[in-house]
Amino acid sequence: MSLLLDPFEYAFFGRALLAAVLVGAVTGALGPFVVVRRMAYIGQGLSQSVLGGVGVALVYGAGLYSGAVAATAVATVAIYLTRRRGVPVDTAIGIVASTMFALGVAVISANRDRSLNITNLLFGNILGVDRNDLILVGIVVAIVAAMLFTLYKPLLAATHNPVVAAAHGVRVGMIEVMFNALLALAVITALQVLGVLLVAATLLLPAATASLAFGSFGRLMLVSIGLGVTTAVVGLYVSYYHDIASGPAIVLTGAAAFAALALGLPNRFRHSRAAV
Amino acid sequence: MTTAIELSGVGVRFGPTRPLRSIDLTIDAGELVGIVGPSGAGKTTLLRLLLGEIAASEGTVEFTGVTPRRRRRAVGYVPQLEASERTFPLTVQGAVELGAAATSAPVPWFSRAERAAARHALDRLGIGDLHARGLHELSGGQFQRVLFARALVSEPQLLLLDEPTSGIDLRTRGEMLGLVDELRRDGLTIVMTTHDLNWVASHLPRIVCLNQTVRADGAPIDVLRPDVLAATFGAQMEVVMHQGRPVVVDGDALVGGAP
Repeated sequence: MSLLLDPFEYAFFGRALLAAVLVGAVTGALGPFVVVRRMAYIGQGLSQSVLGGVGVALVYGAGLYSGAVAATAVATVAIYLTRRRGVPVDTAIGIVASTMFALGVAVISANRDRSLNITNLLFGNILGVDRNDLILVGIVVAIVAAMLFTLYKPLLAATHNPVVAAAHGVRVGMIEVMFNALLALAVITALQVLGVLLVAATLLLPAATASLAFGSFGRLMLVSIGLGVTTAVVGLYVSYYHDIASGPAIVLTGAAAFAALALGLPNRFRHSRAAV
Repeated sequence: MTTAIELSGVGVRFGPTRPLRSIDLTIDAGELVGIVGPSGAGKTTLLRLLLGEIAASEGTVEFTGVTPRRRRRAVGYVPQLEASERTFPLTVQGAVELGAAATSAPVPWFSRAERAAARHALDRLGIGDLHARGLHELSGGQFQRVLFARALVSEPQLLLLDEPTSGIDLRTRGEMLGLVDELRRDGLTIVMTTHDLNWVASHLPRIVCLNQTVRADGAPIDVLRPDVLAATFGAQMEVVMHQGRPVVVDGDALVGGAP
């Protein structure tokens, strides 16, 4: 028991745990939609693009989150404009994400202020979560929960078959904009906990693990949220006791859960044709 | 007979392209009509007009006297079979309930009445006992019935079928035809697009040949003629009679081409 309680002697651990649980719940809830829509590359692209804005914002004295929001907006417009030149969407995302990532690294590495730690941005610095970060994460969790609660059915219909959903009266265009906005919000709020390079993994791992065993989307989503929260908590303890960055510890815990289920689940319990 | 669909002088433009022009077409309630034509003939554009997804650039489109957009929820749509839909993690009941997603209350679950309507649609199509199965466990014929059930869950008056014979085996086609016939007898107006000339010739009472505009409209025996097919498909085809029905034969096959 002391193994579980000892870390709470430090005030930062309580805040870090709460932030990790909230971020785990959000990425676990959105993850199943990302996985069945085969949008893994979008999560990766969004998170990498954010570094450009965050780097510029921090060097010039603006906040981390304002830089992240600006970067997301710039990336979205740049990807749209690149696609209009006839470039395939995955190539457009790759070009924009890599360019903005490189911009972030260049700006930060050229800056003489040693207080900017690029490792924290890349891999997360959960020890740096303060009260304001927690409030922001809490607000985003409330927004994502409210939107998923009210729009779950049209979002699921549009995910399953957008053409049929539109034919039956679902406002697919509005649903797509809303879902992408939620995804961007989740990526931005998860930055402090997981880092730019590892946010996308937490959108995928809990959902991919759950989809090995569940053939009903509702159950898959609930289990994905549970796994997102559990791997965040376990990962944080691993991070604390082994003195490794929080992002890698959470992702490695999630990857271990996926490997254990992928290798150990008997065939009779397996949802063999899950869209992963 | 009541008129269900009426298109008068309808044209559609997308920038410089003009997929449809001067379409005049009337379909009565309870009719079963096949729209045939080559790829790019405007079949999908015509379906999108009837679904209310796009508006006509010229002319008027009416479904029971109003624009299709105003009666969108009275239209059921069955898409082509797609493999990706079958690997989606949903049960049969869950997939059919999604047909009511647009009108359902903003909560994550369906009401008791909506669940009962989905179950009723499944029972009507003879697959009520499969309601708890995953989509990936179904045969092609069973999955197509699920698509029909999803389209029927909101009790539509018009059913639009997009290439329903594409990518399915002969047995499933037979099942699908029985199903369509049954739904038509229940009073539904049904419009389907297809490439499959001989299938429509032997099974549908009315065919519309489409290529930008209506090239011919009527019973298969009146419509399936070499001159009409050449105007519609831009290729020479022969028509022979078999057991009183027209059978279309690829011109190349007659002169010793591929059988």
